[in-house]
Amino acid sequence: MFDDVDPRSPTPLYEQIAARVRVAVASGDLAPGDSLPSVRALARQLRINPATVVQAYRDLAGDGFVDLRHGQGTFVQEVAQYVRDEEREAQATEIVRRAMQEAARRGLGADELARAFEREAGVKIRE
Amino acid sequence: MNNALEIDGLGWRAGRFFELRDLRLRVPRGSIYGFLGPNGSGKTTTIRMLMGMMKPDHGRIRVLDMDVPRDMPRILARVGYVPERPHVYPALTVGEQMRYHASFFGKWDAGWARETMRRLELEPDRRISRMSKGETGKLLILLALSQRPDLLVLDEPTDGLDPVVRRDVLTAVLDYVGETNATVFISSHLVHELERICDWVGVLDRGRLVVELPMTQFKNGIKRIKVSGAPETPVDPPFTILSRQQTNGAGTETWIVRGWQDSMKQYFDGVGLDLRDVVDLDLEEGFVELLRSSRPGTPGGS
Amino acid sequence: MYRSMLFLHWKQIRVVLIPLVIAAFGLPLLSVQGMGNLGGAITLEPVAVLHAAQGWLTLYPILAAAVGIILALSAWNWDHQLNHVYALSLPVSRSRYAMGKMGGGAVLALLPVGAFWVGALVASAAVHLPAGLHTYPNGLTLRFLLAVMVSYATVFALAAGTIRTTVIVLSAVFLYFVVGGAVESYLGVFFPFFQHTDVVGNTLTFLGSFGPFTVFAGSWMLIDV
Repeated sequence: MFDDVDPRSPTPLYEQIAARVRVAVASGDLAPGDSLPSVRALARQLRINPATVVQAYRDLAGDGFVDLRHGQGTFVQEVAQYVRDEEREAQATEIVRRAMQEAARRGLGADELARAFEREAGVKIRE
Repeated sequence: MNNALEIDGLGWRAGRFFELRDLRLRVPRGSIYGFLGPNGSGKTTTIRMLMGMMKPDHGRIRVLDMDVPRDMPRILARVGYVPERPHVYPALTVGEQMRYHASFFGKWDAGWARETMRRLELEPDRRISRMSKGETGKLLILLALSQRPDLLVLDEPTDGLDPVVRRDVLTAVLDYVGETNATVFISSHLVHELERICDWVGVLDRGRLVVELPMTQFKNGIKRIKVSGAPETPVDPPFTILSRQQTNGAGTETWIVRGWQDSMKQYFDGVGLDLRDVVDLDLEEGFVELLRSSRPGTPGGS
Repeated sequence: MYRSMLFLHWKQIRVVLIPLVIAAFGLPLLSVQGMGNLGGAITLEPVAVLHAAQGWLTLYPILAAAVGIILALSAWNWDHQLNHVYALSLPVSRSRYAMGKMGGGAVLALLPVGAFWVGALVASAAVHLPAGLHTYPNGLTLRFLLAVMVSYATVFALAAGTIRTTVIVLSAVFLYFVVGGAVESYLGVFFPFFQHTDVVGNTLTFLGSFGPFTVFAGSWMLIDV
């Protein structure tokens, strides 16, 4: 789940990690009660500063996604449906924004992008 | 104690040129501070001075709230040092060198040392003169960490090591930091490696620290932007323009800017310029652009 | 810490120490060759014995100086190779570090000195002296010990600088005494003036009159009246 964090991205690493947890919770890949990897283990696996992992977990705890139980680990919390929906929406928006930026860079218009999306996804975009 | 390392007004000159001039540096406690700079910028000299091995012409250095060089032995008891070139005795074996080192440090953790030695695949009976660069690199970090220091000073610890060994060395450092909240001051020109692990970055160029910021702020602050219709001298930009270049004949320019924030997009509307694109730079690109712009003769540079 | 510094010095000097110990043991024995009682009743003339004993007079102080010099150089050798970086990163004040090293060398000096003592005792026991002559193994060993310590301490201070400086200084000293002496005699052949000078000898006397260095100039006789 965390394998593709990119240190070179301008998005801070702690944000990338927290985002992945949020997405997993929103999609149901992480259920309430599941435990996240320990700070040490995750820092080791990703070869990053453990303080970064701590910050990610703290952010998640602050938003109510996880519970930091000192000495025992970090556990996923029950998250209300609307929160999960909001998270999914936020993720989708970010992807669209990036696609639009990239399209603009290549000189493509939003309508060309929309048409391509309709073709690929088989979904009709409202006029 | 807020800062593990404080340097003020450090100056040193060798020959006609100042190698260090008015250097000011702060390493917050518990941070992993990446000390970046091109070769010859004075990184190793700075490190030698904070280790009390060289005397500056002027300036003040405080390590772990103690004065260099007055409190040197007390400081060195809490600082783990990995120098640029291996400083261990070639004629000793790994085991002998470790026992020698251990006899100087009261906090030496023999059990941890033994276990880590095994994990790093170092053999106690191996003669240091027969070891490869990678094995020596691992030994140096093992010695420094077994002391249980409060501050690690690492001068290019992974330079010239293969990726597997680099990973081993960094993992050992990160594990240690995770357990102990020790501070790490690491100089390297392997920028991508530092990008992963450092939460602070200080860039040294020709003897002066040109930038000292939390990593995310530094990276996010440097952007490559595309602008159309820009005048000769832009009016009071809220960011620093490091360089400007014509992208094509149609009046579009590429600017490298520093100190960028997203809200600054509004500036362009205000002065009637067309902001085409904002591109993120990774640490290496940002570092290169920063240095390039500070060299004389660059358009827009100082 | 001091134990490990001793171990380090030992490792540096190990190989060279063996010939030194052998030389220290053997020199007193060599000096009494021909004076042992070979089962016969050969009694030697006192004068002849003293004369023979005197022949070894110069070798004792030279060996003592050599032992001291080698101990001092070997104390700092490895540190010099590493440019003192390791030593400077250890949490010991420089004076304590130097003292520790010096003490370690002094302890190691006991090996050749001890061997010398044993050799002197054996030589004294084996020799068959005419009446009126006595052996002084303990006195000689004490002088040997002091001479080793003096040369060790002197060169130790030098060697803490750079090995290169030390070697240059020692080579210069060697050249002065050995080559200088030869040059002087050679010049004496052509220029009568030099027949009456004895620069080298006078220097030695002069040096030998300084405080601790008098130990070199004193009596190095195993056998005396």
